[in-house]
Amino acid sequence: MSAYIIRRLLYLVPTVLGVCLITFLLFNVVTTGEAIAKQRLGQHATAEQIEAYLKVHGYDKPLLVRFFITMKDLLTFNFGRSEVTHQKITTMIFNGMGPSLSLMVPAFFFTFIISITIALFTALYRNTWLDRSAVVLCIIGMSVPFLAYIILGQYILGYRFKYFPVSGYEWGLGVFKFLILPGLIYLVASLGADVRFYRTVILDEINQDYVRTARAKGLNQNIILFKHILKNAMIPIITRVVVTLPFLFMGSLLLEDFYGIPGLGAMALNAIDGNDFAVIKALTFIGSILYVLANLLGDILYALVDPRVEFK
Amino acid sequence: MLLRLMAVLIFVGLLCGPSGCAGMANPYIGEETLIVLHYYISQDPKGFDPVRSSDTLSSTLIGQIYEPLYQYAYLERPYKIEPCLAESMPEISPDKLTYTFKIKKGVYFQDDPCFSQNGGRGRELTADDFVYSFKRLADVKNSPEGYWIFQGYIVGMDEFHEASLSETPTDYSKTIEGLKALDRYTLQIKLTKPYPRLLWVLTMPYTAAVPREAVEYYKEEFLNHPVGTGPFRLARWDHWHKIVLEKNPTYRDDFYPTKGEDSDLERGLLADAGKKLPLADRVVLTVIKQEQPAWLYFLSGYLDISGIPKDSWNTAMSSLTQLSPQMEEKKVRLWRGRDFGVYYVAFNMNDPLIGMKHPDVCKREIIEKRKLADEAEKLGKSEEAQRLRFEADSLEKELPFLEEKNLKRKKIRQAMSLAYNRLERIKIFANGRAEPAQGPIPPEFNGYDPNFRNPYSEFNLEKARQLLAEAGYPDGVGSDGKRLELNFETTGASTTTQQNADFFRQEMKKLGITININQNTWTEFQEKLRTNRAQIYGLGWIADYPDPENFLQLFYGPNKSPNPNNANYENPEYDRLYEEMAVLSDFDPEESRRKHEICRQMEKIVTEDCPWIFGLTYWSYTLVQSWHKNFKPHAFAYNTYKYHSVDPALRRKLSIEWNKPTMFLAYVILAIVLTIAGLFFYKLKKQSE
Repeated sequence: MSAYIIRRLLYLVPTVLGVCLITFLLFNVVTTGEAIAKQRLGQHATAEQIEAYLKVHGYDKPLLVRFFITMKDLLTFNFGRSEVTHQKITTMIFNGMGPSLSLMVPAFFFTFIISITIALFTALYRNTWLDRSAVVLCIIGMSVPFLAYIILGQYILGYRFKYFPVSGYEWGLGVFKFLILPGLIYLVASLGADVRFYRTVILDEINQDYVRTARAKGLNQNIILFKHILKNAMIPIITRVVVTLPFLFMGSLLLEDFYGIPGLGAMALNAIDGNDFAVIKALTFIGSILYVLANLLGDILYALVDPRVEFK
Repeated sequence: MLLRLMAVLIFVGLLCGPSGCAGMANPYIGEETLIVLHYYISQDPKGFDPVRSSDTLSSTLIGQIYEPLYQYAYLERPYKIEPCLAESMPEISPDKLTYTFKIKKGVYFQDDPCFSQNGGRGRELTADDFVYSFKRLADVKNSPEGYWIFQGYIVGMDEFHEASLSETPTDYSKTIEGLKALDRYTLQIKLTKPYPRLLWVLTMPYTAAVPREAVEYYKEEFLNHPVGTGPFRLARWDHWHKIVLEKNPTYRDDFYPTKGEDSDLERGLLADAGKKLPLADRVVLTVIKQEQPAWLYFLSGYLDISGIPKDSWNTAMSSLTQLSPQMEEKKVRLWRGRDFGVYYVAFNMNDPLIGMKHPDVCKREIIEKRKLADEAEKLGKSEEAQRLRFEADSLEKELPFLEEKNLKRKKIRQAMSLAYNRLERIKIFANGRAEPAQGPIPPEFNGYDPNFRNPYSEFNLEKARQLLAEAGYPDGVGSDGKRLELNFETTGASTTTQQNADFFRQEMKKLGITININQNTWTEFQEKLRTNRAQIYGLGWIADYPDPENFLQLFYGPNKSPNPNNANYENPEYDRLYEEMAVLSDFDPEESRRKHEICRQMEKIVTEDCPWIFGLTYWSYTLVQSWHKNFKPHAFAYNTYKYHSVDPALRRKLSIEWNKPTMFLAYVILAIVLTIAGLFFYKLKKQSE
């Protein structure tokens, strides 16, 4: 197994290098240092000031030299400082990860549990009025844009009925009340698609021969559901969960933006708005690493839940 | 077992949810007895370094912590300057080239670990601090955004600026001839030429006093650790989340003004006259990026001050000057004031289709090119010399037809200006909160004439069509049968930018002109300006200080792109008048009168030549809660928080009253969810039996 993991880790290298190359090209070829300088220096910027800015920020070096410097820094996890706030980027990422995780982990966990439960329920009562109405509700839920949930949630639950703060964040225990509303929005917005997906996966299994056999043997319905069906439906479920994992760290762009949660999602948006090349570079790098790691985790889990998958 | 446990958990959770909701909407943790101002900002400031305070947000925050030599009198209008860290107004030599400033004694920087020699206690401010701070502004290594305020004016400063490009590190021990501390409390500035705007710029945060110890102690992180002499100090800064400013315990003796406008007494703005500043103990600035949550927080009473988002206009206002009944009921107060800015659509005057080249400028260019060609010849660069001569010859050939061409192109610009329906734009995009701009000078500035009507600022399609036909494009079609096609560059990707561009296209369509919209990011747009590739674009300019020069310099020939004259307008007569006007002071009655006259001539020239479609000037609307005291909008002052105060008891009372949760819906949702959950568990149980 360790050989398998090491091999998978080696595959990681070209993927990450590729991501870095693309990001570098976007910021050094598509947009130029001069354009960035002009934006930073404001409406009174003169040609000399722009030139000085380029020199100070290393934009005057040849493209290839800049590329190698970038690669060296990334591979040694030396992200440097933000071009806008001059803070250490590692500190910024560390500070942002907490809020992102505190929102996304519970939201994701509850969404997962609730959608699997509802999916099991609908699969169990397939083709009855309960199943049909659940499917219709899911489709309605999926059709509403995420932004509409956010705006309506803030307006109705936050402002009109005064159940939750409209936005904000606080460190420590006080954070609880700020996370319920965005968490709830995440849950409601994800439920439709998740339930439909898990329902399909479970339905695929529920019609299999082994289920019929289990039923014929007179097994308890709960055991059939949780022990047999759910276990066999694990591969597609893991795939879906694994894809979501990096976002638990990287946060949700819209939720964090609207609810004022100072997580990595909001940080990424702000860095893009402010042309903070150093921060975008670091986040892209970490995002791609997390993504590849999550895929690796997925591969390992496949093998663990399904003995037919071997560590080749 | 598992199912039962889940059922119990869900039941308990749902039951506790709504019952725990009372007071849940309050975003503030704990009860407040101190005087705390609750404001919001829509983004994180880029830092607290005075030399990098080109944006309003940074200036506002820096203005609470750092102080310059002068400040605006908070309540008085028209805008007036008074001493801040200076003891008095400066002594000015008769030739207006030497300014001597006396600095207040007994002013201390806030306590900070950077003053290790004093055991962390702040040291006294001296004239040397200003010398150091002004040098920092000239040092390119600090990426200063405000050096333009001194560039070309202080003797020896440009040399220091130049040297900082190559020196590593910059040598601060080098003396600048025009910038000296004569003694501990006396600062002297020597100018290269009269600079009547010097006092205006000495109110800007760029010129605030910074202690050298802090810069050297915090190094790259200096912008995150402000150490000033101001009324507040930075207590907490969670990036993109919250900034907390606390009363500076060692703040100097500074008192609330006793003089203001006549109406200030009536408005209660003089109730705190003579009280020691700052009045508030703490200022909490929450970062709320989106307009909706900020607006909802204001309506709930969790924010003291708010603007009016475009989409919430009808909730807040009944008419342009009247608050809505909902606001009246909450006893919210409205402040309506001018935004000293002009929003415009600019034409690139270098463009062969719509631009302008003055014959005198053309002649000058021919001579310059020939001279350069001769020099190149001497250096043996014959190819370059040949190219320059060719260019000079082409210009010479063009010269006899230039007047005629200029006239035609001017008519195209004038026609487009006439076809641009400003009132419609104001209605659609600003809820009526603006008025058409007649020229570059905003109202209330010296040089503004309320009776002046720009002949091309009205909406007159008939006249526009006629001018376009005279320019050789009847119904927008040229003599070659081709439709006039122009490019409009967007300045960013936001919806508003896109909508503005679409509006422009629609307006020009009425003339028969086709407008192609080119999408740009802000950086791409800047690059196009720099490389002269933008044909038409929309932008705005906000006043830095109340002097018309700040706007008129945008058309001064030598300020052409990449400097702020992005339209690349050049007219020798205008430039001559500008040079005459720029040295006249608003502080001297005689000069001020003369300046007014010149400004009038300049405005007439520039509106006739029409390098911009002069668009709009905005009105700013501010809503203030009933418990907030002493707010008065000021277009240029940044250090205003020290005057603000609140009545915490009233705020608490009203905020509880306004935020009682409605439990009805919660119980309905609870009942539905419980029924579904019960049904599920019942079915499951039955099945397993």
